[in-house]
Amino acid sequence: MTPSAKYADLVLPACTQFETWGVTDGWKYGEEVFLAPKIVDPPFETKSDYRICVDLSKKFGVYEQFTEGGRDEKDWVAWFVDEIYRKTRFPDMPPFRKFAASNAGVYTKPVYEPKIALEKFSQNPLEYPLNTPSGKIEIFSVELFKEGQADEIPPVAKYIREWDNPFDEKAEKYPLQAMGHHYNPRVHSTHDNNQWTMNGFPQRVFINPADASKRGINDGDMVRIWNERGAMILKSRITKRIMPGVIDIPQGAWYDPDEKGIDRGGNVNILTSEKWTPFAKGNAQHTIMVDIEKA
Amino acid sequence: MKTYGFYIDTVNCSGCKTCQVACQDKNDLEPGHLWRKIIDIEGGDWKNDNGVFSEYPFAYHVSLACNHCSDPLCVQSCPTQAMHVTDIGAVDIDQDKCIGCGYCTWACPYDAPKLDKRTGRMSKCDLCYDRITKNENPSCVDACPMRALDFGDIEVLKEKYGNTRSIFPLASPELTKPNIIIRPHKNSLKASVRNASIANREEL
Amino acid sequence: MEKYNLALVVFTWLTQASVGLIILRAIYMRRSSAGDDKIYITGRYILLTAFILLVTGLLFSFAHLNYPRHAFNALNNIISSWMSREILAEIILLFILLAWYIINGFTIKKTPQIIMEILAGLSGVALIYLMVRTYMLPSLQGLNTPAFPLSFIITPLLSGSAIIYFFLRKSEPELAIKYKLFFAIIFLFSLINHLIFRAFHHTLGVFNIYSAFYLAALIISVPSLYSTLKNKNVMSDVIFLNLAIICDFLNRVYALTYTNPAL
Ligand code: SF4
Ligand code: SF4
Repeated sequence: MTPSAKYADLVLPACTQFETWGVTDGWKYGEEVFLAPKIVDPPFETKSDYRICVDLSKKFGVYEQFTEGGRDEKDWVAWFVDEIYRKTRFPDMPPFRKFAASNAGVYTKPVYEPKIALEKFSQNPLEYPLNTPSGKIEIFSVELFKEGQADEIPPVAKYIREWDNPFDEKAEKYPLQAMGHHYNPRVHSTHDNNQWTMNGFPQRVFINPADASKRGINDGDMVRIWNERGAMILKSRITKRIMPGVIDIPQGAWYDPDEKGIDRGGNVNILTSEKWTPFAKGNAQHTIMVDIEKA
Repeated sequence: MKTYGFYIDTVNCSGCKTCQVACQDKNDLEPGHLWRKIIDIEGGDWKNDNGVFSEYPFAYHVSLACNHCSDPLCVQSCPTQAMHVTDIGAVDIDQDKCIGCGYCTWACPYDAPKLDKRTGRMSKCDLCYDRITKNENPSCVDACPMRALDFGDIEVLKEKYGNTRSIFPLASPELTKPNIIIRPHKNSLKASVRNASIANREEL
Repeated sequence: MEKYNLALVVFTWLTQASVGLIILRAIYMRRSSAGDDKIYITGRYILLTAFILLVTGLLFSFAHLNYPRHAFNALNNIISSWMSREILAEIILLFILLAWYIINGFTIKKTPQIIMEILAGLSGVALIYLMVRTYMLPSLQGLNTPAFPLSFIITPLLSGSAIIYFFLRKSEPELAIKYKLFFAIIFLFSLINHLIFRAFHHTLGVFNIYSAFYLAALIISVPSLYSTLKNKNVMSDVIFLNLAIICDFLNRVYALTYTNPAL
């Protein structure tokens, strides 16, 4: 069971991606559309997330509004391809019915000629201004300046010290910076239960030999990592590939507390701050100071 | 008869282990039972200049399965003749003879034969016999996202990629005449001088 | 070597103890001043012990196979496999000892005894040579040190002299002392050899279970040897011999498990 399922009062059987229709594009910058057709029927009682919501919407009496006239998963995918993609980023894309029937799976926007970034602007900035308040490339952003938090949202690009950093007084108590890099065997937390990939890349805390020897930690020792927010015990990997003064706990591992509430799964989130990043209001993942000791 | 071999490009290999998992998938191996494994090498060190660290460490990866050597020590050492050279020149194990003594693993400088705990006998890379006889590449080769592996007649590979047969930490090719061609990572030259070592022993 | 293979450690150790017994028995048969009958009986006991050790060793070697059902295949590759040869030599020695023991029961004439003695001695030495070859593989860097073959010579002499000492302790104390002194010397060699082995392996710290046992044995050896020379029978005797044997055994465990794997 996933840690979030353990927290849930009610667990609904959602089916996998292969058992329902879906579509995605190459995220923000890609020039592809990927179709994810339904390959098999959902087994047993499982339903797609959308179907679960539709059934709920019936109970709430908002079926018509929620489904916008009774659309199912496939209808939505068709609508998205025909009404959104074809009308905006991918005008030359075949209509959904043809695209799905061709079984191509992927549509790639054709490239007719090499593209140069900001081409027109660089030739004639007056006639083709950029989409910024000044129409120029802004080294000093007035908009950001208006946010009024120059310390945390500086209008010029500059180094900002983390909230938790090695230069504070607090660093005397927690002298090591911790980061959680994206780890090879997982996509965030997906595949943490995949034995094949996790066996190739076991969840470890990576420590530089200099920091390890100071604390008498040998490769493979169990190590307690803690700060004022939480603690975990994890096996160590001593490696020069991490900088002295920094430890690395790959992100995405499943939270697995023991009886004392100490995480054994190596979930870096128990050490992170809950303070949002000032501008994007995201989670501030890399502002962690910790100390470690042999467990 | 052709002699098959692998090409291993340690310059492009990112150490992602896709090849390892593809092999496990194809051959239904349990987690931890590795016919192909990736050795992470690291060396060098950090230089502390009055609180400013400069970067000197280096790392590279070697993806290694059985090299189907021309002079296989495993075949020579196996007390039962279970370890043998097959009709396509691959080194393979006759499960009807193997006693699971593990002696081949000690003899092999590449640690290629592995005990299959389910059968109590040894097991190893068979060059994807079913695939190469259909003119397909072995699973690991086709799975590599960096195109860091290649497979084929060793003479053809030699012409294409040169004739480097070893890289730190692999044994001297004199020992078993392995059928691998290696594109050496630039840091492998430093490896012997700059105290390089295997960084992921627990994963091998 | 990939895993901790205690079965193999016991196998090599018992087999070598058996070979050591056979060789040191030959000396006993010639040096003892007891009556012929007495010598014959003691000699027969020693022979039986050697046989039992060898059989037990062989049984342990089975324990190390992951698929013992095919065990007889192990003799398939005499042409090129040192392990096949080792097992063959082991079986030959086993039959020689068995035959010797039977012949010994029928006749006490000198000539057949000496023939069997020579046969057993030669195949015993051959067996030890083959054992060394089996483990000294070019790919196992950790075992390619002089300390490893040396330990295969030290163990037979050490365990052999200890067992014979226990046989003679009560009945022929004079000769027993000589065996004990010999044992003490070999123990020193074992200690030196352990240090040589360590010089090639830095994985273990300076002080650990191995060094602890060697140190203990070394300390206890002083009162033990002293009392032996004074012709007193004391506990330290037993302790010393046992400790020294344990040391040598641990040395073998160390050699076969802490060697660098091929990679
Ligand atoms: S790599 Fe090892 S197992 Fe493969 S043929 Fe060579 S010696 Fe044998
Ligand atoms: S799949 Fe390719 S890049 Fe990844 S570890 Fe294997 S050889 Fe290297």
